[in-house]
Amino acid sequence: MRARLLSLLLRAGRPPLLWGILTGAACVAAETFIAFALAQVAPSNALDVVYLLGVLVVAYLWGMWLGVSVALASAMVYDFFQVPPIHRVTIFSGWTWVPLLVFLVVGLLVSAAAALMRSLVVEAEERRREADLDARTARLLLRAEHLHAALPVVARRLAQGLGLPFLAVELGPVGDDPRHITLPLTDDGAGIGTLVVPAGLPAAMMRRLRERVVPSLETLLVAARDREAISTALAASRDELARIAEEQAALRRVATLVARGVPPTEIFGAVAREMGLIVNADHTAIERYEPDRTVVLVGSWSGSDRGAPPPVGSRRPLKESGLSALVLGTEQPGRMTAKEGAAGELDGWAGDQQVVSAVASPIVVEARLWGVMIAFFRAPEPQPDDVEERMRDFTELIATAISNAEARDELAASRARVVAASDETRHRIERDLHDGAQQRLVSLGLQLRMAETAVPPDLPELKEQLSHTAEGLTLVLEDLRELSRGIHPAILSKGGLGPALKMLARRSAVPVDLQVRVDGRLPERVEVAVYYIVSECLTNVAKHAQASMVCVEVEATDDAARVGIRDNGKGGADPGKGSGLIGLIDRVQALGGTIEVTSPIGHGTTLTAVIPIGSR
Amino acid sequence: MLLEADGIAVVGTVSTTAETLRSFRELRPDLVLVDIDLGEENGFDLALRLYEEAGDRPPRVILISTYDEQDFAEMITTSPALAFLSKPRLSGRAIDEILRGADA
Repeated sequence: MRARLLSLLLRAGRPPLLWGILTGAACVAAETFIAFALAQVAPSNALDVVYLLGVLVVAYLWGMWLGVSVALASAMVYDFFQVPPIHRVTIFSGWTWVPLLVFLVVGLLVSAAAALMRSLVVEAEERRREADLDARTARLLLRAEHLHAALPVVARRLAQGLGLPFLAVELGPVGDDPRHITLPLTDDGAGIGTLVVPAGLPAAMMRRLRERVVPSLETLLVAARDREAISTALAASRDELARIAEEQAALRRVATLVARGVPPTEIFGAVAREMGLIVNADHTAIERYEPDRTVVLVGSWSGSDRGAPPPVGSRRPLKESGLSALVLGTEQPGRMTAKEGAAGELDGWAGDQQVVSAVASPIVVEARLWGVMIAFFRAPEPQPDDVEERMRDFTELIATAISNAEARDELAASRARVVAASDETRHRIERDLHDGAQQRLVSLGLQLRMAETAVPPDLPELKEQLSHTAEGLTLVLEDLRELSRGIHPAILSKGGLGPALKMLARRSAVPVDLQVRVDGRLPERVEVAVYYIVSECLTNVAKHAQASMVCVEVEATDDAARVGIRDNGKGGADPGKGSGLIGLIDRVQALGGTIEVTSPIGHGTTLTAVIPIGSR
Repeated sequence: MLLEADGIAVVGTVSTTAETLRSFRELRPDLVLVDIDLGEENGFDLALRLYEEAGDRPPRVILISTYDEQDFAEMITTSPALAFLSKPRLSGRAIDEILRGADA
């Protein structure tokens, strides 16, 4: 009831005029009765105030002019019923018109005041509704993830709020349509959109739209647009950050492998995978350029089962129109689409017909073009410009890994060469001694022996002297043998590890339990290394260990020789402290092997060495 | 020369494994002195080949070398050869002793 009354009072439109006339008549009638009732207790000339109530109501609801009419009617009725002489209209005949005139003036003013109040109340209500509408619109626009998606909802709400059958908010200009009126929405003169409303709206509504709806909508649109821009920028920078973090993590993983000195083949695999994931490729390949214009696949990765890559290590001729040849020619990153690659085959990657484009980055190791890394894409759209840039970080890591590995290999090779050269020299000196000095001494001895037998029996002194000289010569020969034995064991080159180690065991001061499981001969460097390890260890045991027993086991498989030497002595041996162990460690490492010594005090010493039998 | 002086007839002198095997087949000597150190070739292997070649009529092989016996002790014991003689000790008498020991 109260709400209906309130809505009646706040309605913008007026009720029908007939209702106003009837209401006015009813009010006047009711007021006359009230006046009669009041006339019993109050002086009748003050009762004209009662009639103002009706004037007020009618003027408020139907406007000033109907209010004035009611006032006029009220004056006549009052005159007729209340002003003596009763039941006669005296206004034109007596001085009673003076108070009636006053009443009319008051009635006029009341009507005007009521109408004004009504328009103020209605406008206040309108403003309140508009404020509510603005707030709702603001909420809708500013909360929306995407401005475009929110606009239809906003337009519907606005239309509802304004009581319009149709309303649209567009972000761009709108074409002319006689059924619509368009109101441009601008921000500092720049168009930001258009408000579309039905044609033929009342002027008041148009004014209201122009003066109040458009400005607030403009402000909101600008705010919403800014907000959307900020959100987009934030999201973009968040994505960018995530991408950078991911990329850094991938680079770090590869860099760790590089730093750990993992073999390049393993690094190629890791890089192919990490880079494939980072640049969103479907396949990646790392290829090495060979001098004969072929390439060897050294690492690859595929994001899916389809189009499995050729096996690592496979070689293919460099296709002149392919991407690898392009990079070889320019020494710069390059890209190619399947259309550009000859006959739709992209750089020999035959397995996957769906590959549409590829990006390649050169791998430059110490200023020389070593190879190329290629990322293959199935996605039809062109790859972003920074793919090459991002690939470069990975190719640089590969280059470092290759250069490290090469340096390491060179170092190992040079150590191996040093060891081999020294072994070779010792071997040669030993053989030279044997073939030269020793042989000559032997034949000298034999000649002396012959001379001795040829001495006539009457010269016993000469015979004695010759015999003495021959003996001296034998001693010299003995010394020379001892010397050459230390330089290089002849039995090792003649008989291999088995006899040589047996000889060492036989000569050892500490009893040796020797077990040799070696079939045939091993490469000389391996035999020499094993021989020296056993020889050095047996010497050390005899000198320092105070052991009663040494156990020596030597075993050779296809790929490595293993030496284990264990004594039951006092332990506490330190490889770093002098001893020939350092030399052994160098020798074994030069061959790419490992050597390990454990020597807990009181529990003997154990040495384990593994020497690869490579083809190197 | 020395051996001739000691009364041993030298029927042939050869310097490679192949030549040795050929002249061994032709001459069938009573005794073969094999130098352990045959350059790239190996006296121990040659001794083995000679024994395989001869079959049921084993030859008499003595290994000789400028090296000392103990340098090759392990290989000498596993060789089918009768004995080892270090070259300074090489003489008709030393050979006689070895052969007598082998025949006994």
